[in-house]
Amino acid sequence: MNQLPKFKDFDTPRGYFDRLPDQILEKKKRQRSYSWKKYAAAAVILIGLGVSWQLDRFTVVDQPLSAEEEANLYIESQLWTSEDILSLSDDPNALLDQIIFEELTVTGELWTDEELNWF
Amino acid sequence: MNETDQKLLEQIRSPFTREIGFRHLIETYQRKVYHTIRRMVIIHEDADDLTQNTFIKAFRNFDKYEGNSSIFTWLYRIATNEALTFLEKKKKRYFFSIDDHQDKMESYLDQPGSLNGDQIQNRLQKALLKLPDKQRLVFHLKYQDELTYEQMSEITGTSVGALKASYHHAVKKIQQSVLSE
Repeated sequence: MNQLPKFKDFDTPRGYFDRLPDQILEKKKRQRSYSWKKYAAAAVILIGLGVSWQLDRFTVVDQPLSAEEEANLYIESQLWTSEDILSLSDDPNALLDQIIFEELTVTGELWTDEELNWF
Repeated sequence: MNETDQKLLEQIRSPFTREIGFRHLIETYQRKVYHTIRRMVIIHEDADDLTQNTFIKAFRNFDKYEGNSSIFTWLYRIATNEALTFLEKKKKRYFFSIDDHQDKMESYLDQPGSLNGDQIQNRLQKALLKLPDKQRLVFHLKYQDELTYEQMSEITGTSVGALKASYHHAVKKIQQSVLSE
């Protein structure tokens, strides 16, 4: 090994060591400004996960509802009014007529003539 | 601790001169750190990245520096660790073809202007690339930087005996490799 020369340094781009201190200090600054944002984002995600996990523990698994059940739910919770339902129909008047007809028919079946005359 | 290190330490530890202290630290040791890393990773862009990371890690952990060793020994330890970790990651990435990054480094040596030397330098570098990374590091620390085994032990966290054995094997392999060509 004594006959072998020492390695010469590798070449670097011209002016590389003149620029390097500024590049390092700039990179250090950038990383410092990112670091608190990184921790804040991680904290938000952790809190979010914690909250959703807590909510999941107390939430009953939803059963899929039929369209009719869903509409009833909206009406019962007063999110929708009967006007809203009617406005969803192409022909609100026809729908109203149908409802009146069905209700009258049912009423007719539920009370006999005698019962109706009772009072 | 030498006078330069003492001055740097005082500057960095004072909140009023911390930034200028860091700048002086880089200016003082950038060439040594860069070439230590470059000898290991060969490619300039990789060495540039790792040199920057070495100094940033040094800044972040400067509070942990106790002053028992010289600043350069401390920087040396961070730099060699960065280089070895980098090479290890490259190997894992090319898990199915381990030689890929090795080939890349070897062909980089053939690029014009990459190596400031003659044919023998190129042959030596290629012979060195055939050594395991840690053995290559030991070789450079001893042969190139002429560190004592005690200093090397401090940097690598390896026993003096193991370092002596590693260097002996490295020299033997390089001699065989150079003589066979």
